[in-house]
Amino acid sequence: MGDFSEVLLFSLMPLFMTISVSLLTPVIGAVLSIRNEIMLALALPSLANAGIAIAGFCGIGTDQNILLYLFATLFTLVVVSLTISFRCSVHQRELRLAGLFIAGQILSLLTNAVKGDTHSTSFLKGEVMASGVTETVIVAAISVGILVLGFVFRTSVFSWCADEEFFRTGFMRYSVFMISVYTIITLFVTIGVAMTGTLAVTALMVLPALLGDSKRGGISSYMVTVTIIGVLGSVSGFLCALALDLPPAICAAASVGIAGVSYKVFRMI
Amino acid sequence: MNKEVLVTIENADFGYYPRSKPVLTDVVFCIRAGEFVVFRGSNGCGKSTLIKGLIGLALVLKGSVTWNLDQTVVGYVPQENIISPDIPYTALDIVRCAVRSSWGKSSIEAVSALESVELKEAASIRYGDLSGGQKRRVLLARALVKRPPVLILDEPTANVDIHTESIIEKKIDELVLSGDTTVIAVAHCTNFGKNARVVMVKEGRVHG
Repeated sequence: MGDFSEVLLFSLMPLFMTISVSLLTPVIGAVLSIRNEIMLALALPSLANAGIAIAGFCGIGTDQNILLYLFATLFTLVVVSLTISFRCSVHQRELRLAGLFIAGQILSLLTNAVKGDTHSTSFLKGEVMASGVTETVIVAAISVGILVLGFVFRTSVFSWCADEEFFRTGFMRYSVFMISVYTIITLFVTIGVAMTGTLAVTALMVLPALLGDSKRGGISSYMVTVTIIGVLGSVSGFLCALALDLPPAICAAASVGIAGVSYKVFRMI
Repeated sequence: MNKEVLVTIENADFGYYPRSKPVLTDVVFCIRAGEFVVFRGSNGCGKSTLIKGLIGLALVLKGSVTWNLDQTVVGYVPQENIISPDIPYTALDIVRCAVRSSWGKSSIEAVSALESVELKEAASIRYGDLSGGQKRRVLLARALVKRPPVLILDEPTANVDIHTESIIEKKIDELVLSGDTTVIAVAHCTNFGKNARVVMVKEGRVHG
């Protein structure tokens, strides 16, 4: 127990980083799932991963964080907006996003196979254990900032999620709103992928959204539930990883799933 | 007495994609404040496209649509199937989405709008669990909660029972009689909008 406390003391920044990422990522997943865009939750982390790998391939080092995130975010946004049109049918859009998910996987593996170094390979798995004070504070500030922004404008966000056509009729700057929301989502997913890995971010977006709906209550309680499942799952997964000396990203992903299933079982009882 | 012209449509073509064949061509008409206008016509003739074109949901490919008020204050009631039944929203949540005040303060106004369409008791029920007629009333309440000077309805009484139909018609009659609201609707049913100015839409053209 003494050893665990000691390890935990040295892992406080990674723990705060895990909390910061898991505070917002499930909410993003919930927003995408309500809008029938859950495939985007799979495609975005995969493409952000590819963006980071390609940035490394182009010579942007992992020490140039801001440039790296900007490159990966821009890459992801451009690829998504070139591939899918919001005028195409839902079926077509989901198929194209599934294609982007596969393309992202291929691009990251290929780029790493051609020019991979140990550091960038470990970076792609999520460097949560290497989180320093500065980056933890920045990510925490971004996460809380976006959450506060979402909370203040929740009427618009909820309206946009429920019925885009109705929202368009009452909102003059619809395009600006939509581009801003997707850019914020892409940016945070890119940061999340770099910090905690593709698997953890994908799990945080998909599993709470899938398992957090009790089929009762409204949108506010759903959002609170997915956030709690995400944070509790990630933190318990991180602590398990420390105790059992396992990779944090994999433990966090598994633990988010366990937290979601536990909630589902609890609601059934 | 000539009331102020609210919206003017001049030689407009409406469609959904740029450079594609328009659904409606050469539409010319105007609607005055306080009027009750109903567009009628067979399936696929372009009635819904016309009202969507008025509020920017369909493209104006040629000509112009000019509103004499801020277009964002228009209340819009779409067809019921526009909202996924799986979303984790209650009836109250759906109405609150349209309230201009903050989410926290919107509950009272939303409950009052639901009450006006005799659906207060369903406020906490999930939208997906409501019947087709109740969903239609929720969408009407969502449009009314903004107290819009213009209300646009897409087949408000299609596929609903007589009880729901009478509630919706009663509410629309109240709005029309008050003279403060302009009502523009699309309807198949000839019973709906007996006192309205009827405009026929046929084969991509507007008559009347």
